[in-house]
Amino acid sequence: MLNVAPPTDSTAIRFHQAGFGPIIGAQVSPVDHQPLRLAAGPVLGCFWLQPLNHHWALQVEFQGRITPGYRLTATFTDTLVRPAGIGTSRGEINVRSVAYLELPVLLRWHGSKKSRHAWLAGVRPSVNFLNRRQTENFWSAASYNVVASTEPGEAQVRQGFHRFDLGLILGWSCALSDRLSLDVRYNQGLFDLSADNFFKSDEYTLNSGLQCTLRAKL
Amino acid sequence: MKKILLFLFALIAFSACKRDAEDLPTERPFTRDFYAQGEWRDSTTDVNPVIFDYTVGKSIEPRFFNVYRCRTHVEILDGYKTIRCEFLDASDTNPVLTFRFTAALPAQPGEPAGWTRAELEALLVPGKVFQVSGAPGEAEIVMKTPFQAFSFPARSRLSPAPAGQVTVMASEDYIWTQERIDGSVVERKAKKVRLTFDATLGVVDYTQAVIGQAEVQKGEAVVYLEYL
Repeated sequence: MLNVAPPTDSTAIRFHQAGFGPIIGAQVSPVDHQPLRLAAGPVLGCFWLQPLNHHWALQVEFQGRITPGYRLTATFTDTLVRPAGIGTSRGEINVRSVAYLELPVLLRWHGSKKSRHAWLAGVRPSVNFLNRRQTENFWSAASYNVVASTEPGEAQVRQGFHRFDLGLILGWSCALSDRLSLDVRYNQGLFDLSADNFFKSDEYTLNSGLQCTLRAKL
Repeated sequence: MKKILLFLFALIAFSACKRDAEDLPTERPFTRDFYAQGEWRDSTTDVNPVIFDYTVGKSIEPRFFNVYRCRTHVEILDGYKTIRCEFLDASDTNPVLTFRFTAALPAQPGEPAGWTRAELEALLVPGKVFQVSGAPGEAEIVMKTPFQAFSFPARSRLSPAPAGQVTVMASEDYIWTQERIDGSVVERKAKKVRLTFDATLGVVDYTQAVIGQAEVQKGEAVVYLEYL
């Protein structure tokens, strides 16, 4: 069972020792910048902690999370005008929520064995997944056999929303007990996930956010 | 050292990498290739001119998908070859606006009604001015004016005081392919001709009595004239 009794300052903090366990929490991410809109989503995962020396430790995590609330829309329209009439085709792609799988690799530093606090920094590779049901639809109309191209309906969301991403993490951890800790970190994505020429916007879509999680060492 | 690291972090954070998408679908915007616009008014009243704009491909009524179209029609009238560009709305039988050109010389016996590219180029020389009486070597404008309660269109050759002209501003080749219902494809070749025009128009009934007069001004059109 988890030992929830807070450690005293005179004892070594066992949370800094090697171990692994689950992660649960939430992340608040910006999903739009003009105006700024934030969206919160759950975080679930696990971590593995390996001390390197008295102060430093390596922490590797595997976590999944969902960020809802995106309002990305790409439309492609082809119009063919001929003397006999006009043909129009239109494809629309929407991105509303994204699921991420991430593998943060962090260096963890704590001042002493008695310190409950630790600082974190590292990198965070990530892969994302989109809900296909929300992504694509296509409409076409023709008059007098004037038919526009079907290319607008053939656009794939993956052409414009990049799957892989890398980010940087800075954070702080506080051992609440020997087996439970609170982790607050800021995650900054380094790649604009949405292609400007696909969504016809130069807005950034970054996999960034402020994350707060509880970690329990098994 | 900490400040430098923080600065680097901030620098990286605010310079996120962008990548463009590849192989995007081709998007063609609406192009106003063929149209006729201007002002017309009922000559018998003091009503202000009404602006008209028949742009091929534009919706006739906002709620419906019917669009303006145009076509070429050729025939031999009274021994002379004629070619006309008709702008159509929802009706296939009553064009809203027609520009008709008549050859200056009579057609040869057995000559087909269609025009060749050379004949059209000789007829529609940029800068050439046609009177609108509809006589051989001249043009005619026919308009379905909205003020008419009767089904007779207004014609420039029927004006009680004929006046006006059609001026050829430019001419270029226009080739397109049309897919038929059976799936076969036919290539259509035409001249795309830009005109300016103004004319007085007359409406006559079946007894040839003049029952209406109109005039069209500040007219500009790009017409579609097919050749063999």
